[in-house]
Amino acid sequence: MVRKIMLDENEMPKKWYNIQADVALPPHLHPATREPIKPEDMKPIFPDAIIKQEGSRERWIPIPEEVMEIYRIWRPTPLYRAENLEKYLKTPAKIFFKWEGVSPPGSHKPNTAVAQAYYNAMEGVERLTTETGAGQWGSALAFATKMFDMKCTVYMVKCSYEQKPYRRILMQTWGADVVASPSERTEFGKKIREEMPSTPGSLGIAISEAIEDAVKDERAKYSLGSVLNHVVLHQSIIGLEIKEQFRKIDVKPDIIAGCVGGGSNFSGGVFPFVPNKMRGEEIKFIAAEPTACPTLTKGLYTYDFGDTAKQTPLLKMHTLGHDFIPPAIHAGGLRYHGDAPALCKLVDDGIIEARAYHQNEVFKAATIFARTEGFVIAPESAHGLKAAMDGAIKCRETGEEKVICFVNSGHGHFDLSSYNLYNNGVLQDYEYPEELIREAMKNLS
Amino acid sequence: MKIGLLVNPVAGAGGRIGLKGSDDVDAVLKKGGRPSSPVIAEKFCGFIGREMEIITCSSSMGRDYINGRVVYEVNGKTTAKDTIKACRAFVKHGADLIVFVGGDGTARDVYGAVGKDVPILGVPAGVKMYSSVFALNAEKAAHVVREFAEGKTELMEREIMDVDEEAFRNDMLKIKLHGFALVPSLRHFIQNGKKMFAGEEHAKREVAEFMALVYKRGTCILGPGSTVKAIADEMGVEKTLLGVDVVRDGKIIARDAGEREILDAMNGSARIVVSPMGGNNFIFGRGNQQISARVIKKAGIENVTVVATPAKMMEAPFLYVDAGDEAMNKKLAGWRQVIVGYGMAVRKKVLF
Repeated sequence: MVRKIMLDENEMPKKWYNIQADVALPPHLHPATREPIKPEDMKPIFPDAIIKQEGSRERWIPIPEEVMEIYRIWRPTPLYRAENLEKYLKTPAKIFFKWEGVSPPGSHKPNTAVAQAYYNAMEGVERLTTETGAGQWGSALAFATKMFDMKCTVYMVKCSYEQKPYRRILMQTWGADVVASPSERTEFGKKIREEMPSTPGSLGIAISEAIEDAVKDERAKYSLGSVLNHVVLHQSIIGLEIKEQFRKIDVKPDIIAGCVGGGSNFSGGVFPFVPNKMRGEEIKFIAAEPTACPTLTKGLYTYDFGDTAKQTPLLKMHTLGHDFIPPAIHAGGLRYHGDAPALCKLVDDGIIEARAYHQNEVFKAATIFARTEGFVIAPESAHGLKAAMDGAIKCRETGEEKVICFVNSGHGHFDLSSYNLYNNGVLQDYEYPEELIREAMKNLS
Repeated sequence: MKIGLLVNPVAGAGGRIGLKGSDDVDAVLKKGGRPSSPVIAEKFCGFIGREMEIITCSSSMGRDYINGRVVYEVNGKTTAKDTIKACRAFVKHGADLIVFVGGDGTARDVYGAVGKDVPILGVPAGVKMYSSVFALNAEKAAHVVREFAEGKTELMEREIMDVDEEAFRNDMLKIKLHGFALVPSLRHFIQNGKKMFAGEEHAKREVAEFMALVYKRGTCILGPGSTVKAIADEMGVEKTLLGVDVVRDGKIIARDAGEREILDAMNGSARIVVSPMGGNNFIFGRGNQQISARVIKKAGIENVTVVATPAKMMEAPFLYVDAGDEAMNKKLAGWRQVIVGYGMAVRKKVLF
């Protein structure tokens, strides 16, 4: 068996797969009228091409050559067989992982960042604003905007800004203007700082700031790194490559797992396989999230805002509430109160399963992975790994030779202080106190 | 940076002869008890080094072990009064931190003398050490003192607790909470060496805002401590800091209540909120024994909520329970959520 399955540059998919062709999604609603949102409503923040993709039901959308050219810097990415891990787990299962850590920013995020920067540049936008939690998305957009000679302003969640100086330096190296959020740059940021001077910040707050900044400057637009349909569309290149790679070795995956923050990495890896499952093929999809921010496992499936200031359209998704500020866990990229609507719909339909994991068990899995496969992966990605390892352990018990694949979304080279806490046994297992929250909410009304 | 150092020269004497404490010094010494504090004091002073400015007491209360400036003279046999007077002298001479070598009794006396005016740190040398003001050992204590001098520690509120020794000798464990001292704590334990939160006060407020919403209606039994008191403050009820109070529908119905009064005040199930207490972080059985196994049983075990600040939980690998009833301890043990913020919990293993 080969160790890694590669594709040539000319084998890279030339079209993205759009899940909306196969799954009817509830429309996004206007925050004020609560009516389905119209394309013109999104004009202040997104370019026309992106707005069109957000609502498109075309199954295949061509990837522009300019985007392909930049993708070729690191794509196609390898699909690895994790044989050492299999041996360690003494499992008859075959474990594969799609390695997205080879991109310049070190994660899957540039798959959409490059596309979004391109469409904005084509429509004359000079600056993109965005938010970032762990810094993965911010560095992806900082890199992508530089490729198209644009400016980039990144509102970085304050606790990450302080905890992850290297991610900040990376963004600045690509020329981005990085601001700790809540900041003094926006009215909303000022308001939050006044009300909660010591808040660690949240993705929801940072999104609000980035949107406000973009709306106020006609030469700027906003860019979101997850959740929305067009983001999920761009990420489909992950799953399309996986499909092609498995086809090359004539193997069919039985389980595909991945981590979920806003859901773009997971959706990117899994959605191209969803039609197969709809056609009756036996394949299991496992979405792995942190117990500290358990949107899919504990959230309500309902319409909610994407940000704290309630500026975004209302999205139908599994949500913990737009005002929920998750604990500062080390998989910072998974700290978001909601999830991609398409992913939520498929979880609600029972096509995708969701599971929540604690920080310590996730780091334990990541450490085993580092010691068997060599790669030190992001704590976010390790949630997907944990789900895959659990599946493999189950196979050890049942004797099944299942093919398990997980999307390994990025490297953990900027997360070593978190590994250090785990190594020293002082990493905390955060949880979402569901019952008490329910009670508190009851008393609030 | 000025460190006040005081040694309780008789601390630890009762331990080796099974007296469970050295409060009655004469009896202990008569029975052949030998204090452990001199050896530990010497160790600590060896670790601390010479570059620190030390003020101390004469002879066996300090100067015998360290080359510091004497600001309190001991006359003859030392008593608790000497500890108190020495601490007051340290404050008068501008001590930034008072380090004492002793046990719970010494901690009580030091705290009684300085309250929260000056942070304190215990070098463990006593028989009883239920208070959470002690470093792990002499070497770790010296490390904390050095970090404190470099401004690398954070001040945390820690319980001063002591056992009723007479009851203890009769195999009854009565541990009373006497107050909260300020103790320097290593930032090493704070995740990533950066503050996630603005500090203890902010964290308490977050816990309080959340829990006050949960406790808006019904009966709740509020344990001792400032984290629980913050909840009461948020609810608008005036709670005792050291006692157990019972609140119904937002009004206090029993203040500083004992077990009997708590049981009387309950009509059926009730919610219980407690904060881990003492050096080992006990959720029951240390400083809140009024909330007995009977009270917990009547309230319903599922109605127990544990609250704490995140920084405190980061230093606690485990929580402990000693409800005075084996069956109840078993039920309370295992994984438990501890509320550490607004709608936020950590998972801790409770042992007994």
